[in-house]
Amino acid sequence: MKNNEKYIDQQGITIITPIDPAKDIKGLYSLLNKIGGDINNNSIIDFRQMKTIHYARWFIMDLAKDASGNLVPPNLVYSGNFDGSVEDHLEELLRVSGDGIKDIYSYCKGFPTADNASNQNIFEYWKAHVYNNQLFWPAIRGGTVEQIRGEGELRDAIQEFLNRQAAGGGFKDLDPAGIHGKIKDFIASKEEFKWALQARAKPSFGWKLDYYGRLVGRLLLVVILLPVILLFLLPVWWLILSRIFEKKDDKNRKDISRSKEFDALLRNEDQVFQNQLTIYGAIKKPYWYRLTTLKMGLWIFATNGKYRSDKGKLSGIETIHFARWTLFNKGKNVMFFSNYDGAWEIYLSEFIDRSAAAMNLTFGTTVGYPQVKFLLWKGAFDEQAFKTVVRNNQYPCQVWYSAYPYLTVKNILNNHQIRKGLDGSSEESTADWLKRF
Amino acid sequence: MNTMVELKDVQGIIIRGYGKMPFAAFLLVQINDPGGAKSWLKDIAGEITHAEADLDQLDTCMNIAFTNTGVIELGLKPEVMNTFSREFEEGMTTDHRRRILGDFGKSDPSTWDWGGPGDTKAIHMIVLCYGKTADALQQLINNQKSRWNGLELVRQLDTILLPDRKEHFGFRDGIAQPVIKDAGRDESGHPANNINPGEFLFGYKNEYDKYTVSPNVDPDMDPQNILHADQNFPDKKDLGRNGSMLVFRQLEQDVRKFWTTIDQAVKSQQVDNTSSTIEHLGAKMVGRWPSGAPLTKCPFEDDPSKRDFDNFGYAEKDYDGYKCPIGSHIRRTNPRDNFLRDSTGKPEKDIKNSEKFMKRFRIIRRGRAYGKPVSPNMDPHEVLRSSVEDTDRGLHFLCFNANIGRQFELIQQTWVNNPKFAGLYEDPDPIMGFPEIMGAGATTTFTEQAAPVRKKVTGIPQFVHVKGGAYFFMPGIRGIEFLASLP
Ligand code: HEM
Repeated sequence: MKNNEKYIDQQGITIITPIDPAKDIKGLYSLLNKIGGDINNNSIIDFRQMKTIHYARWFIMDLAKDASGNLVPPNLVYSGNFDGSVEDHLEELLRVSGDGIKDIYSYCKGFPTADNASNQNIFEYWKAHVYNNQLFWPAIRGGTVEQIRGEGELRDAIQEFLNRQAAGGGFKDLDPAGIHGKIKDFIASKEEFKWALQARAKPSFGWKLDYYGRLVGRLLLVVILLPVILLFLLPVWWLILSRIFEKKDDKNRKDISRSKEFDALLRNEDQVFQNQLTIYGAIKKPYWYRLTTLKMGLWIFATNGKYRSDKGKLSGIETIHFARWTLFNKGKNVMFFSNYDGAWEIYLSEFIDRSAAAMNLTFGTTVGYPQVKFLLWKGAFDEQAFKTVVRNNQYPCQVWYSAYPYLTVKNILNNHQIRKGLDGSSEESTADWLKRF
Repeated sequence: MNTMVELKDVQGIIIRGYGKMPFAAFLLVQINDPGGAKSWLKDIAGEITHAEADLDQLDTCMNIAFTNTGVIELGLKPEVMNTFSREFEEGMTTDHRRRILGDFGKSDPSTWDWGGPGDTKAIHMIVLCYGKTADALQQLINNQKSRWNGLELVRQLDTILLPDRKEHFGFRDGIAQPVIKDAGRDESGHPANNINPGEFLFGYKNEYDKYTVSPNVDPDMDPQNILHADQNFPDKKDLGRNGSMLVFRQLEQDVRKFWTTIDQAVKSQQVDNTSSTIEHLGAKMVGRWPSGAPLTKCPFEDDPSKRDFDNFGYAEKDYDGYKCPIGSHIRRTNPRDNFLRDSTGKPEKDIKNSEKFMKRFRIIRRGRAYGKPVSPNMDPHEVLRSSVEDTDRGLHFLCFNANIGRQFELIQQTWVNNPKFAGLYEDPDPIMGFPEIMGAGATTTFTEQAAPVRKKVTGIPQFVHVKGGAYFFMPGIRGIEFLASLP
């Protein structure tokens, strides 16, 4: 297992490329639908061969608007979550399914033509269209695809072993330590699980220096700015302004009567026990105020998410594998991506129950959002209005791939704790460890 | 001071289970002549049992609800239909909804007796009839049918009262219910169980302190001024007020398969000396003993004196599920104070939040059993010995909620069908779940949490199949008068 040797980070990338108006966009829809319709076995993009992708999606962003109602020309959006470096990820895409990739991007403006399509040129093209993450949040830190799948198999093997032992009376009169010993012996006897007896590599000193260095940087920024912020009573002004602008926002709750056309969304939903969410928002005017609010909000959540929510829960929600906010269209629009466990309805309900204020501070800056008060209140607390605006701003995603559609965040965390009980790095008692089965 | 529920305008079955009316039948009706249907509705609007009726004085009760095609038939226009929820407008059998509800294989709507795409007659209306005696019930049905004009009985769904109010697997049913606040009910139980009326009735605040979006009409459609203003859109009139959404699922139960599977599991556990009785394993799957006593309260043996005991939680005394397994039917359809499992790291906070959030995912169940029991005394050992044919028997599952998507469907999809519920892996609801949901060829398990290590029942087949169903709108009495007044 690779991350037994070296700690490996997870990353997320967003590439937004303009679709060539000279090309027939329908052709791109049908190509993407063909891939998405048979995600694991299609002949165009061979996701199963890509060892470092956790999640990937392609969708066509059509008919997006900014706050003034100007159409954003249609774009193709790629979003991927993966292990290791961006370069390696893009390289893997091209190495495994270069032809399919070129087919897809032949619909995009400026993509290198066939005689020019060296990997180098394609990388350059992509990199020119990469959009920065305002916030990127992975649930499982350092958990590679290889590890997540491997630990899943490890857990399954132990479960079967336990079933066989129970059927054969093998656990009669054993205490927790005795059972733990038997499990460990069983795993030790299996060549394919040898890795599980060894702990995952810890982050290196250099990694930690970088990680905590950035935290110190963020805190220093606050400390330095704080006197200025306080001196000019900026938060007070900001709140006063918020009321002025919020009062101008659309008060009409008309939108809580349900949104209409989302058959295309539902077609792909609930095919497995995970789903993806792709939503975009048009940032409201005045831009300077809303965009600053959004950026500050995301900055706070990114800091909190990175340094505090590192146990698999984002704002108390335990079902998100990856989440990401990205600005596009010169800061006039924002996009949110997530990969989550279970159904849309409970997922959105949990957002409302557990982090409505966070939704208000961020999505509250976008058009159509239920009216917010003082940046944090109201808004998402209006359940049906909030769910409707999410549906209205949600994009159908033609291609969506999950490397482990049958493992929830909770499963993955539990599997990792099971492995830790074998590799010696677990801190819980054997009795507690056994509860994990 | 909260607004009190206008009980006289609410149909009785939403608020009360009619325990005093042991006999019941549900009539599925097609409207052939809307004019005739409306004159009948006008005629009987005053005979519909409302929620304040004195049941001691009555021999029968009657309540009425409509499908989406039913209210269209009565004259509601598309712009009004658009104000109903998607769930109601689309019906129970769309592709996506089948995935939500898990209606595949033997539950595929194309095989349903009613409510599926194979129907030759439309189902527009359901008349729920209840009686103190079989005779009284029959008289009610005859009397109503004789006054029908342009209405046709598509199917009559009969019910049976099993001993001790049990369902066919042999467990007492209809115990745990939410209490609707401000409706004259006993609110002295656990406060977490008292729920704002808006979760079940349109026109009142729900557990988000909002009015659940309700079907509404333009004022000029209501020249007689029957309806009140809509709370969300004051320039509209509220057709939903004092009404609710009724979910009806006819669930067939394979009783012998249920107990045979349990019997085999118990026998296979004997090797390890950890086996229990079949009653105990069955009770673990349900979460209550056959008498109704909850396992969390009575972990080792049945205690009929606790049969209606409902004032309990899981988080403090049974967090790990050693008494009542985490995946049992009642613990997953209402996780109570243990909805959030180790969410904040502070147990008291998790309990408080669980109780608050769980109020948003409740339903009022009003189901009744149908079909003859395998064994008249409901004893599982007799079921095992019995060679009675597996004829038609099961549960007419009925429940009320204001928001089908957030309440009934969420419970069915996220808790009943979901093998990943509460950190589990391959455990859908042990009495109602089914393996295909995990993909072709998958097996499902039921985990009995235990020390030092769990026990598992593997390869649980499907015991419950859907035979029919539909979503209905049950208006308030004024709502019915309004529908009867449509041109
Ligand atoms: C044939 C199918 C079913 C059977 C045999 C069955 C049986 C039972 C039994 C024996 C109880 C415990 C007694 C009680 O508290 O009333 C119960 C409770 C319950 N059931 Fe079911 N049920 C079935 C279908 C469903 C369905 C389809 C749902 C919802 C989607 C559901 C939701 C509930 C709820 C919410 C409770 C109360 C849990 C609590 O608050 O403690 N049941 N059921």
